[in-house]
Amino acid sequence: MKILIVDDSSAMRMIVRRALRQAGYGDHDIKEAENGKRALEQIGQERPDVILSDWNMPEMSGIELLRSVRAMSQPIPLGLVTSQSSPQAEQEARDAGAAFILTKPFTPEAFKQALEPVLV
Amino acid sequence: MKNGNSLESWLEAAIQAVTEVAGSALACDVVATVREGGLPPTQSGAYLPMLAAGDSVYLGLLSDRPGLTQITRSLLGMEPAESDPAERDVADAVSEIANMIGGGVQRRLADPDFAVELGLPIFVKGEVMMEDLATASAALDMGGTAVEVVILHGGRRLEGAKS
Repeated sequence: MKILIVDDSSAMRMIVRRALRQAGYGDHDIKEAENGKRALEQIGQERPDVILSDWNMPEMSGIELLRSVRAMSQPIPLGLVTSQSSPQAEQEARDAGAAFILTKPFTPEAFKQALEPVLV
Repeated sequence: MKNGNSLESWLEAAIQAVTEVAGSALACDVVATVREGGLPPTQSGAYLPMLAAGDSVYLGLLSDRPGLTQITRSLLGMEPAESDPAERDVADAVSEIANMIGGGVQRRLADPDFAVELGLPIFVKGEVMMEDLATASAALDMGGTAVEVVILHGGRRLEGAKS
């Protein structure tokens, strides 16, 4: 199973990777991208099974990435891992087809709960 | 600013958000003391721009170099034997913490009629010119590390202003 982490913060990519390991997903093939644009390039090459993306990023935001992924012929599940937590943002993410929204800071347990239905 | 969302209410929301983030992401407790007038001495740190109903607000998380290094080590879960992170990694980590705190502020202040938007954080070394800005700040003891949280109110966006 391939998981693509998308975040402009290298610290946060490391923390997400650690949370995945703690949640029991350490054996999966985990890739990283620093923004939505780079993620799209990687999606073409790697075809991940699930994408975990930050929202606010330079070049291409997580919500723009989500819309691009949802427009693909075979959309890949994308969960937003974000500090955004307003009712407006949550509605926007749901409307755009987010698989889940995980608010930072998060726990490994929250990761497991969010990912389990997606990775079946 | 919107009624009920004064500078003080932003600071209070920020203190609560810092406490939440410190407890979960940095594994430490926070003791906050609201600063009466004036701002903390010039320090480095991350500023997160936020927009709320036309108001421009900046949330700052500041400390000295050892303090910023310490909270970076806590966020990254570094072992005592590991050498200190590079300045670039400190800037990245502290900006991310400011981003998480901003999310906590957003959650506390936003409602369906009052949108609060988060921008991208920037890391600043040195003094920010803030003569025209309304300010509020608090000194925090974050697990033994002295940190400052600052709210700057940049005023309303100008109607018809070009960006």
